Amino acid sequence: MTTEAANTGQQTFNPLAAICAWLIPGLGHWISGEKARGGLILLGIAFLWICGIFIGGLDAVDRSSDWLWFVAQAGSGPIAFAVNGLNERVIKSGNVGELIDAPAMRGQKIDKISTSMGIARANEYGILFTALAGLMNMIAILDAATRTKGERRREGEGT
Amino acid sequence: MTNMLAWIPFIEPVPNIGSWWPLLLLPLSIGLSLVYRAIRTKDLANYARDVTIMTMQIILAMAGLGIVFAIVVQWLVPLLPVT
Repeated sequence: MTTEAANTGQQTFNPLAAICAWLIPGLGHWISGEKARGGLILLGIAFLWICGIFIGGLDAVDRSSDWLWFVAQAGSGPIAFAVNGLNERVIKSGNVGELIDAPAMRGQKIDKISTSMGIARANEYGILFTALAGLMNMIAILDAATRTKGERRREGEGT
Repeated sequence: MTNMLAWIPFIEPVPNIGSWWPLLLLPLSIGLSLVYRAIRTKDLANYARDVTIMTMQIILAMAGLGIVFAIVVQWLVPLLPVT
């Protein structure tokens, strides 16, 4: 942001804050000087992720089966890719649970699925929590990247 | 209940979610409010109050929608003439 833009409160795009906010939720606000706000954003995103993985297990993040949900989950940053990788290595590989034949129509290729994969409500809610965490972080990314210095000053003044 | 003993938290999905899944709306709305209010609240001294208000708003709105849909499905739709 230029000094002139900052002084006039003109909205500009700060790509560094956007990248930082994607890498670690809240970091975009943190580097802009709003440390408390950044910490609270991290707390909220972490809360949604912990609840989502607790309810849905690692299978709540599945890039191949639920790719459209994964687009939303990826808004939270590298954690979505890390959990997807853990799902591949722990659940889908059969390291936890047992691999069994998936139901298939006659003539179709029979896939193997894990007995530890998520189904029904638990899976739906796990996906929902983590996808909403990603979508909320996208809002935080946009806010961190476009927040003017004037808005930050107002926050400091408590108005 | 015995399958709870074999459950590995954070690896496998929570078992026996049964009929209490609507209660998961509470942590969901708390999480959404935590993030949204962290972004939008101007004075963070009011953060806890704003989170509480927004959580209640989400829960009441969802309960209201549930009541409206229940009225439509249970009461209004059966009144429609069958041809």
